Amino acid sequence: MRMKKYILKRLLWIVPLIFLVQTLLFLLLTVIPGDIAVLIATPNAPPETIEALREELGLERPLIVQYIDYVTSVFRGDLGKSFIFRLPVSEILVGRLINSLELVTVGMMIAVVAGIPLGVIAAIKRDSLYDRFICTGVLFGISVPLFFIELMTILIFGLYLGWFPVSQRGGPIWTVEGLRHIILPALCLASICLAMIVRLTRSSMLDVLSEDYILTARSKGLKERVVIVTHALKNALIPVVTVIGLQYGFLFGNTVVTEVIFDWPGIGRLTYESIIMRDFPLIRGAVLCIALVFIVINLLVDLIYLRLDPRIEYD
Amino acid sequence: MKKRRETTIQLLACSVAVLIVVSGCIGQEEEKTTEPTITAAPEGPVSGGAYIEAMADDVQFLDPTRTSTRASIYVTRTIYDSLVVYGDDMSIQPSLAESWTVSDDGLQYVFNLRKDAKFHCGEPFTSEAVKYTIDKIMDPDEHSPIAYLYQEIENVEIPDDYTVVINMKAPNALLLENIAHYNFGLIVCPKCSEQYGEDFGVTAACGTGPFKFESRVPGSKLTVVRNEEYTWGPSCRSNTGPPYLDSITWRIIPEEATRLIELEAGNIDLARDISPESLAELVEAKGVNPLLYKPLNNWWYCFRIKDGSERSPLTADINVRKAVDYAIDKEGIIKSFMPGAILADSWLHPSVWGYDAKIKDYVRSYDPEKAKEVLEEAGWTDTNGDGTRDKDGRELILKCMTLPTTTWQNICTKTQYDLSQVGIGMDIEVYDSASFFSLATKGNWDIYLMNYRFSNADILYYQFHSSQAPAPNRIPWEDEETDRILAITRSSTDSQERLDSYFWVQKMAVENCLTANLFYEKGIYGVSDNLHIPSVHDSEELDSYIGIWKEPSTSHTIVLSACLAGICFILGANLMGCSVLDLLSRFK
Repeated sequence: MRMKKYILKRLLWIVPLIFLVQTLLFLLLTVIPGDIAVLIATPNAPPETIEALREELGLERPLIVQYIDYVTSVFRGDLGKSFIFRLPVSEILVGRLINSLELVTVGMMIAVVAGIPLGVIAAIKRDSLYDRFICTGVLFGISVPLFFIELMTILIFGLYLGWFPVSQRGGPIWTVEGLRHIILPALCLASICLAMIVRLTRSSMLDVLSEDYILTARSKGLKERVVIVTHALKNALIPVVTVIGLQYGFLFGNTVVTEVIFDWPGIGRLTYESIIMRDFPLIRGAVLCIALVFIVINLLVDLIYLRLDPRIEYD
Repeated sequence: MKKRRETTIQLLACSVAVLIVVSGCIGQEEEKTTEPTITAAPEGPVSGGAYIEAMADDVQFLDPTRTSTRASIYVTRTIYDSLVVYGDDMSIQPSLAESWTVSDDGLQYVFNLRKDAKFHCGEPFTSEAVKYTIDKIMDPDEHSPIAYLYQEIENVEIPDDYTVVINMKAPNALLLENIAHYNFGLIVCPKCSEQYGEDFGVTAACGTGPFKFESRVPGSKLTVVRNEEYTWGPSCRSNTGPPYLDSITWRIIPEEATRLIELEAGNIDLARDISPESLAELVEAKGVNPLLYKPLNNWWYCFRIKDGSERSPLTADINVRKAVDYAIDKEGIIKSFMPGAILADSWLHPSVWGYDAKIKDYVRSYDPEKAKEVLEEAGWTDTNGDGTRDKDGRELILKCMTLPTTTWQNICTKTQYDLSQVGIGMDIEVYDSASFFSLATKGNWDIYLMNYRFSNADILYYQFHSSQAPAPNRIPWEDEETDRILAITRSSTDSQERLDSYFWVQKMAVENCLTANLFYEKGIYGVSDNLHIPSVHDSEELDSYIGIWKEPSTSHTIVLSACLAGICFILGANLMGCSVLDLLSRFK
């Protein structure tokens, strides 16, 4: 019962959060310079054409009217029509959101599947050659900018070796083409949080391995594999799961660079293009989407946390 | 059993060796020249093939009456036809209009239309479609961005199905050129336009063009397919029948590096929006070539001479403007950043009707000493010894606006250096395009870098007529005599009088140093080797794609596939315990 109440409370908090995000975004968009009417009508068009276009797009109305109209529309579930594509924003966002979720999920899966074992190896082989090699790799992953990793990956695996296509989505992920297209961007995206997961798993494992109950388990004569996997890793994973959850949201917000470079038709690229074109309804819709995903992921992480450690209770 | 395994291994080894040798042989490339040219077709054009093109920006609308962006123009010209088109020599040639007459007073245009054209939906093309399209553009409720080109039209009459009469409020000698220009005269299907309403141009498109709209994923890709019934192409084109290509797909790839890699990897046939910095890479790359074409692009620095804001522009002083024009090493800019470009001596491109080579006599050429002299005479001296001239306590530091593209910034940085050599400072402010044009219109700057693409001389009207201030006449140049002469360029029906008037305006702009013209740019496409482009038109660039053809899919892929199939066949035969011949006979 307490749990249900907690979830309900968290869900209710989404409303003021979204309201806050939308208000801040609206204010930000009003202060940045640039006129979409000029871009649509082209800079050569006479002022009356541009004025007419501004009127058509509703940009001539007082700011407060635009704001009230916008906020009430959002809470009615209407995100408006894109200035550029002239299609409902929600219609454009759905496909893009799915593509981004697909990319981020595959990226995160790669990071988790590779990161946790690497972290464990680095911890149990502390100060060995393996540990140093992994730590150097982690340092590389943290220090090198994502765009550089991406361009190098495209050059090596896309152009010189020609193993994978370097742009766009090839179709559903369960098809061969879909899988080939997602490998490179997902790998690059994974590199951001892979390093973080490896570092955290390593340090968390080192802490746990020095605990008394590990010594007890070993003295009972349990196999080392059982000690590591069953006793140490399970406890060491609690902070890692928290970070994975936070990193998922972080990755989602950071898909912009990856999606632009790999021409991935996701929400990150859409946000970038809509900002360049000053397509306000689309910017607001895309940011709202990213904020919602972030909030939901955080809630899910808190719930998983509870499952992993029954001692934790939420008020 | 053992023998069979050995045989299999031997056969496999032989196949792999053959595969490697064949791949190696196919991979041999001919020595590439550094001078890119349009590839001559080894044999006649071949029909078929899906053509894929990459461009940086997405299409705005597929309804030509609602858009004038470059990306939209590329696509709409394949779906729709116009009444007239530009020929290779920039003369007006028939398209959907077989012939036309203009009344002596220039107030009436009569077009006789083709009788064999059909819209993609099956509806016949008639004069009603022409009237519908022009009325739609002129309708104030439609807010068409190209309405200003039709503002002198009084009304459109259609005495019969194949005759259109356009009555003018005042003569406009540029009407035919405007109709031929880009997407400004493309004719839409009235039935489909009405049927789809707001969605026409968004989710549906219907014209008489060589390609039919098939699908679109906003922000990602757009596909058109061949119109098999198309036989009414303009006679001045290399192909008047159905286009050779099965389909065209435009992929929207914002990142130039990705466009280039996709081209080199063979995933696209042509990459647009290639910057001069990538030319060397294209020349070096295997399987692709740069294609240099001549767009009607003029690059120039615009000077601000008047400001409504508190800050009075430094370039209000004609001597400062002249000094800047003298001090910029335009040849140096071309050599460093714009391969293939030619020095600009006028606002108009030499291919455009109205250009007069006499303007060369008035142009200022690079002369830093002369720049210093002009500034000294005007009282701009370096009194405090900081290397920058000043006058009446005001430092000569120009405020320059530019866009964030590498080429633009490079040109500005080179200019900054050139100006510093004569004692002029320059602060460069970089803005994205949305901010740039808004701020440029408001003022509070001295110069900005710009380029324009326009295929007729009417660009002079937009740049220098007082009615066009504050934009696009952002100088702003307000002069009664200029307005009077510019009005003649539009209203006169005497070609010589118009030519003289255009020359007068160009000369006036140079004498008053309203802009510093830099160069006429060469555009760059990255093109795969198996693509044949008959011509790149000055105005329409790719000739509505009607003459482009692709060589059949490369032998490389076919041979590799055949070899792989062969290996599978050998393996299959061996697993079934029979010889390859036995297996073949079983198939029979």
